[in-house]
Amino acid sequence: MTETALPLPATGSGTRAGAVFVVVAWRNLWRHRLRTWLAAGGVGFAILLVGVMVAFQDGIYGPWIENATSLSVGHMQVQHPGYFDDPKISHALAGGSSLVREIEEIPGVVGATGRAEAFALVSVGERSYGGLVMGVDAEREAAMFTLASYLREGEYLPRGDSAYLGSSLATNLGVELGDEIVALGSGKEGGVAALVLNVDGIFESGRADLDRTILQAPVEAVQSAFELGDSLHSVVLKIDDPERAEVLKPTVEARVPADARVLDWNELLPELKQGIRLDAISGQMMAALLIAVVAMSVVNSFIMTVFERTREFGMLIAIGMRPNAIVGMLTIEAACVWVLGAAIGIAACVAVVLPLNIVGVNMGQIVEGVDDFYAQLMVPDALRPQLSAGALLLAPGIMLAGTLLAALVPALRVRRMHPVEALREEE
Amino acid sequence: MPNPVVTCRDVSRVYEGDGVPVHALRGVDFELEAGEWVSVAGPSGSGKSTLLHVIGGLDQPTEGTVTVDNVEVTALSEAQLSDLRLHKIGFVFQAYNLIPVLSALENVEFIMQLQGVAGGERRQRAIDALDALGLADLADRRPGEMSGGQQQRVAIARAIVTNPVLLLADEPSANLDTATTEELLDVLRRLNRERGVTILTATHDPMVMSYTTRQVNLRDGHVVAP
Repeated sequence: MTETALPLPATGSGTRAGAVFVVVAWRNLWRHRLRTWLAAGGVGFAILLVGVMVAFQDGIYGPWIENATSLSVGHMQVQHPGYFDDPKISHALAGGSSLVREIEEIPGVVGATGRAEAFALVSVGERSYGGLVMGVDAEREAAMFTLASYLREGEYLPRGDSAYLGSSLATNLGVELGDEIVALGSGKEGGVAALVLNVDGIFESGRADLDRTILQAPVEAVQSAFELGDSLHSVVLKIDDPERAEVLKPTVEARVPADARVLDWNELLPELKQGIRLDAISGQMMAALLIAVVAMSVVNSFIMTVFERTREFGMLIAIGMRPNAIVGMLTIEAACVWVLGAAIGIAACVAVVLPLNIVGVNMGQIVEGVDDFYAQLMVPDALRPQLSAGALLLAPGIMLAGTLLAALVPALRVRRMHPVEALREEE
Repeated sequence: MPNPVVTCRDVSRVYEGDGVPVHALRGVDFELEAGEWVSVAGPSGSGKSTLLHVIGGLDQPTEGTVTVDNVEVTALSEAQLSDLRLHKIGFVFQAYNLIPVLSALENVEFIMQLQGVAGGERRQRAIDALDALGLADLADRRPGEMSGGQQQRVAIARAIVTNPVLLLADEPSANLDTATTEELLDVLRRLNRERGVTILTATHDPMVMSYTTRQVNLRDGHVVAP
């Protein structure tokens, strides 16, 4: 039903009244200083904790991804469509050299190298162990990946018949630098492949699975021994921003042969993606709990406010202020609490995060034995929280919504307030 | 003949108290002419405050109609009632009811801010209203820094600054001593005589009744002969 307008002067813009609402709201906060500081302190504390948590997440995810991918997996790989699920030697891409050159030209790609891989029996005398023979371009590999830097002894693939193998594999085989080893497997065409190599380098990455199974050799030697010609099993890429891998992926797909499959690190290292996701979710749950607790304290504070000022609100309704305007005024009070809390929380967050970013937090020094666990998860040794826009804005943003909502719940009671009964309330 | 500022026709108000109906007003017929100062008198529970609340649009009658300045109050929505109170009616309460965090001047300005009156005009009208009530020197004081009488005069300044057609005062002297009550009543008399402000006062204070131009007696919700 449409209301008929009363023959009354037009009520002015809300802006004029809005200014006095802010004044009233701000001054009302200081009628109960302790309560205001407690509410604002709660908001600030939540912003501090959530902000620091986000800063740690922002600071750790990038290095975590970089740490995990820089060992040897890379940010993306271009493979034969069947190779990832079924790494048979025949699942190789033809024209490997030209494919590497083509991929290098893609904007956003900062490096590319080809690999020819084969599962083989690595033997020395009577001893044989299964391993992954990885044919690599030594120069590019050393420039792009860190596995070469985990050299424990010897050199990294100095010659065309060099072998660079994991420390556990070397121990199992009982080989030392200078020893000769033979890798036996099946060639692409079905023949027996035999590759004779000299142990020129032994690495120790800390990753048990790599140290026990990987044997790197020059790519040409592997291609020749395993009848691969110029074929490669994967072209491994590094890109300028690994967190944009999914965005860049379609561009790479458009530049490679139609029968090639492009996988980004999310697919190549699903455990890394899941680890990050799990960490983010647990952080979000903690933040949600914290915000809920603080919101309850704000609700409590505003229940007290509405209860104590019932007569004042009754008077305001009586002199012609609409209940919704009173709710608006209380919402401004809540926003003022948030402003105080956000100022406290952001300042504290900056004060905590900046020094930690410089010195880093070495969890191994805090929790004994955690280094090995972190190494398995490929988490960096030193955690450095990052003072990002997300860390500074996300928590205050969520708390603003939480604070306003928390204040709104009791404030809405004003809409049901009967002015005559409200005016009879004791102060 | 001019229309009355207030007309009540057969107004009844029944409250449901613990399942037992309480008849606060029983078929009240009442008129208030422009420029009058009428006191509604009667003992506690006679329905004085209820009548003021019904006329002021703070409460709705169970039966009957109320008209203020040719607007039928009983037919208005909540929002329209808010506008009516804001623009046509001034309220003075027993307990002053000023906004504690605002100064006297800001309290008087506040209601004009709700009306949307521009800053300069608003400030000047508020100063004039306080000045008229002898409060110019107390403009910057907050309610907690003023006596009861001073607060009540600020409340009157707030009520008249919008030039309402009707000033409703519910037991305005209840919290004041005799000397302060006399000062307050002098102020109201001056407003009534010099500015023609129409005033309706609910009271059981004989001193207040002695100042008014007419008296309406209520007993058990009925208007009775004096």
